[in-house]
Parts: sequence; structure tokens; C-alpha cells
Amino acid sequence: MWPGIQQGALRQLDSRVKSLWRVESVILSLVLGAAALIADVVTRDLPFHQGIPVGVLAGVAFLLVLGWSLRMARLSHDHWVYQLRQDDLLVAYGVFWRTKRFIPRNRIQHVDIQAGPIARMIGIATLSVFVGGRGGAAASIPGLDPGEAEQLRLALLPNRVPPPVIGQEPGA
Amino acid sequence: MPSAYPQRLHPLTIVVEFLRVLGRVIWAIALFLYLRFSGAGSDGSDVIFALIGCVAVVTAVARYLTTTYGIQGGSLIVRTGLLTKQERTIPLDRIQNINLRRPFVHRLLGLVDVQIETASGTGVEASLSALSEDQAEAMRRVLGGSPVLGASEAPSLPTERTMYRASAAELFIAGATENRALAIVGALIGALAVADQAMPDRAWSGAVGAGIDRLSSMSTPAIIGAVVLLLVIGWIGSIVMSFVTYWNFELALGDGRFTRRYGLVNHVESVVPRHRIQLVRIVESPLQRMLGFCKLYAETAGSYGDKEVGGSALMSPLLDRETLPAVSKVVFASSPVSDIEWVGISPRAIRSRVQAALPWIILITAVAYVPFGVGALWLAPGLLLLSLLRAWLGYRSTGYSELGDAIAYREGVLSRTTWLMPCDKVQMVVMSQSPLQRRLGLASVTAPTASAGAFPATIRDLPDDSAYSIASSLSERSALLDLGEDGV
Repeated sequence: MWPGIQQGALRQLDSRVKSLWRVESVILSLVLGAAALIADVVTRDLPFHQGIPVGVLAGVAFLLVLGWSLRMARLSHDHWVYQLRQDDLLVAYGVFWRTKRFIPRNRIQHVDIQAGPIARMIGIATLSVFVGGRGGAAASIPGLDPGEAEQLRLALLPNRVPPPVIGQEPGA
Repeated sequence: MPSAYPQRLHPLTIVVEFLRVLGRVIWAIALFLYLRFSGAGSDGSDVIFALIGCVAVVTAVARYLTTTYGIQGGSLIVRTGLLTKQERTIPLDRIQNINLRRPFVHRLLGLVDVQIETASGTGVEASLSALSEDQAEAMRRVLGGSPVLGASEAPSLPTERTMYRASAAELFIAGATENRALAIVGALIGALAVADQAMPDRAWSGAVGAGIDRLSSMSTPAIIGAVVLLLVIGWIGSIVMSFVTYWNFELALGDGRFTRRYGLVNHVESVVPRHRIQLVRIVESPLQRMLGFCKLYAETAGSYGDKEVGGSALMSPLLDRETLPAVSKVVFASSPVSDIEWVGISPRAIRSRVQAALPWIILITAVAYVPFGVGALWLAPGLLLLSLLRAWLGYRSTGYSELGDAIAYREGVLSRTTWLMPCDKVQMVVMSQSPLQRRLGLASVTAPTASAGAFPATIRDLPDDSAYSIASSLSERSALLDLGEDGV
């Protein structure tokens, strides 16, 4: 019915999303590392600082967090699937804490396709589905090829009104 | 076609946006104006002003250049963003409201701020600021064709039927069976202590301290007597509170809307449109459970357009359990409540909850070891037994039921809460497993509705295959039911 998106097939995220997650982890680690460094310098003269190599501890913690999140990128990707079923969209993710979200298709209010600067450089986008009552997205699927995201959007919001013919007023 | 994608905002948007950015940093501008005119740092402030101005201009131009909108394929598409690009697609038949706003600056420049809402009830999904009057009118014509948009509801109700009126006896029982006594006593003592701190030289100063001194010097039966006396005072206070808050509680139904009127000092009149009720909660305090009474709350969805917050509405301060099925049928035409066959959660829930409590038991024992030494170690088995009892009682009192067109769930060891959610109000279903649950083969299922109150029911610790089938079938059942009047 919808070219490219086979209903019922379990689909994984594009593997490039791992790169996005890794880049984000590196950036976050750098920011945290800088914050720890600044904290170290600022508190250098305070009494509790003596004898505790805060800088070294922060550096070690930074490397550990970095290594951990780089490894987690592959695991997270392996555990991310989505499935367009007959009446709903199923999204399943999570390595330790596993979550499955079922979104009935007729509850979808609108769909967002979003890409930050890094995601755009890598060539992937995030599709978010919104339902009634919530402020935030009901489900967000990261790491979609833009063409795939577009097809998923079309599949989720089937055209109810046929597109108007050029030069004709709608409803006329 | 005037509204076909892609369209740009009106160029004068740049001016509006520029002023809006300036408005956001008005505090910085004021600060630097002050610095400038008081002579201090007058050189720096010029540079700062220029900088703020440049940033505002660049932001405004960027927003104008990167925003496009239009109708394409039966949906409104809005593209925004410079660094993070976002494309929002809203099907035309999901649009609930179009607001045209003309704030002062917009009016000066002949612009309109078009705000588009869907049924999420929490804000504006698309904001086109700013369009020319012609563009706005074109959008309104195209979007206004959707059948869901309607005129605002009529202000007065022609016919209204009183469904229920609370008698004085019911208010008395309501106040007498609530759990408020301890809270009232606690609040009183707290208030006295605070007053003591704040105003040390008044008549009641030192009352709390003196009271505690008196207490510790009394004999044990006298202390018990004093505590009982305090509880009785709290109990009487609870009854008085019920009377004052819910005086003349009346629930009326007219034209698809419930109206609640109550209150002695603060009179409240609140309208609850029936189609906005997302789920029903039945709450029973321990005493109420024993006597066969309960309270009924209706959880409603908000509506941004109607400026309604939504939330928890008390439909009856005291209800006889016998009449509950009839009442719940009135509140929403759903299955009767009384003859529900409750299905229990997994017995492994007991293990799960005890295991989850273990870190806390260890922590508390470790903390108690410091002042109390080895004697504190007796705390561990005691707490373990306590958590085992609590987990077992919790397991026994938790249950769910998949009714024809609704799902019911209840939990609570002392106070019991029962949720009734019609399938057509379920917005999505979430199945989640913590690492602990996964090891035990358990999962939890949550079915959020559009209700604004924080009460989605979570059925915790189901066997994981049941959880999957419940979640999946609930989602499918919900998908087969049409949306309600509000598009929700």
C-alpha cells in the first residue's frame, strides 16, 4: 500500500544514528569535563580541596562515561525497532529499561520531522508522533533516512482530502 | 492556489520578530540604560547595545527566511528552524481551532498572528506569525472548511436536571470517614510552631514547646489520652471541613454538560462537559470501604481554545457503592462497575517489590548503625518482614479487567482507587519493563488518556506475555473506535 514501508515488517533505525549518538556523547562529555575542570580550578583554594585530586577524578570519570556511551550506541541501536501495524504504530526501544509504545493511528494529531545540524550532516532525521492530551511527543523515532521518514509520515497520515488541482479554489 | 505550500510569512515579520527579541532582553537593555545614564561604564554599554541590536536583527531575519508554510495533500505543513530544522504536518481534519490575534504592533503594521490548535489541549501546535490580512484570511478559509471546527458553545442551558444532591448526613459521613484527621492535627501543630517562630512574643508563643514538655512529663496513659484527644479533634475538624467545602453539593446534567455547585464560604460552580471526561476514578478510604461508600472523580481533558485547564472533578463527595453502576453509566455510558471480574497481577510482583525494597532496607540499617550500633541490625529483618507484608497485601489488592469497551484497574491496600477507562479515550498504550521486572518476567502497562490530571493508571507487574497482549489489544480496540466530539 505504501511504497517502501511494508506494513507489518519490523524495521530498524538507520545505522548512521550510532554516529549521531556517539558525537552527542562526545560533546556532552566535553561539556561535563570542562565543567569539572572549571570546578576544580575554582575550588582550588578551598579547604576541602586539599589532598583530593579532583581534576584527576573528573578526568577518569569523563573517560569512563565517554567509553560507556560509545559502547552503548551499538547496543541501543540493536534494541531499537518500529513496526507499522494495521491499526497502530509500535515502537520498541531500550537496552536495560525496555519500553514498547503502541500508538493507534487514528489518535495521531500531527507528525514532526526534525533534524539538528549534526543529524543533517550525517544525513538522518527524527520523526515524532503526537496524540491528544499530551504536550510532548507520544513517540519519537530517531535515525531515519529522510526519504524513509517522509514515507513513514505519508503512511501515518493518509491523505484524506485529495490535493487540489492548480488554479481551482478549494471547496468551490 | 493562495495557500499551497510553500508560502512565506510576511516580510514585515522581521520587524515584529526584532521587537520580540528586544522585548525578551528588556531587562538587559534597562540595566545598560541605567549604567549609561548614571555615568558608569558608558563606553561598554554602547557596544553592548549594538551587539544586542545585531543579534536581534539576525535572529529576526533568520526566522523570516527559514519559515515556510502551506497546505499540501490535505495537511498543513510548517517548516521552521535554522540549525535544527523541523517540519510539522497537521492533517486538516485534526485542526480544532484557529485563533487570529492582532497585538498592538501587528495592528500598526497590518499583520495577523495566526495560531492553530489541535486536540492536544496543551497549547498551540502551529503559530504563523505574522501574516498579512489577506494571507490570514486565505488560511482561515481553507482551514475553516474542516467539519470539526464549530462555533463556541451556547452560554446558557435551556434544560438542566439535578442528578444528585448531597444530604447533610452524607456530608457528615464523608467528613467522618476521610483520612484527614492526622493531617489536620499535623497542620495545626505545624501552624502553631511556625507562628511561634515568626511571632515570639505573642500569647501562644512557646505553646508547642510547653506542650511537648508537659507531654514528656506525663504518665503513659495520660499521653495516650492526649493523643486520642488530638485525633478526635482532627476527626471533628475533618467533618467540619467536609461541611464547609461541600455544603449543598449538587450535580446537575443538562445538554451534555455536568454542572457542580457547592460550598459554604467559597461557592463553586464548575462545568464539566461530558465528552471531555476521559476516565473515572473511584476512591475509597479504609473506613469508606468498610461501610460501603466511595467517592467519584471525573478526570477531564483540557482545552486550550476554551481556556479550560482540565483536571480532576469530584462528582460526588459520598456515594453508596450500590448506586455506583447507575451513576457511572450516567457519567459516561460505559459498562456497569459492580460485576467486574478482577484478574490479578503476577505473584512474582511480591518478589519484585521486595527486591526493589532491599537497597532501601540496607541503606536504612546502615544509617541506623551509626548512632545505635549493633542493635540497629535487628532493623533489617524487621523491615524485610514489613516490606514482604506490604508487597503481599499490595499483590492481593491489585487487579484489572478488560471489559468490552473499557479497561478497569484497581489498587490500594488501605485506601482503594479504581480506574475506569473507556477504550475510545485511550490515546496510546505504553508497556515498560525495568531491569528487575525483566529478570522476573514482568512488565507494566500504562494507558494515558487526554486527561490533564496526573492520574493515568499503570497496571504494574503483569506477566510479560499478558502485558504484551493487553497492551496490543487495547491499542487495537482503541484504534477501531472513532474520536469523540473534541477530536480527542
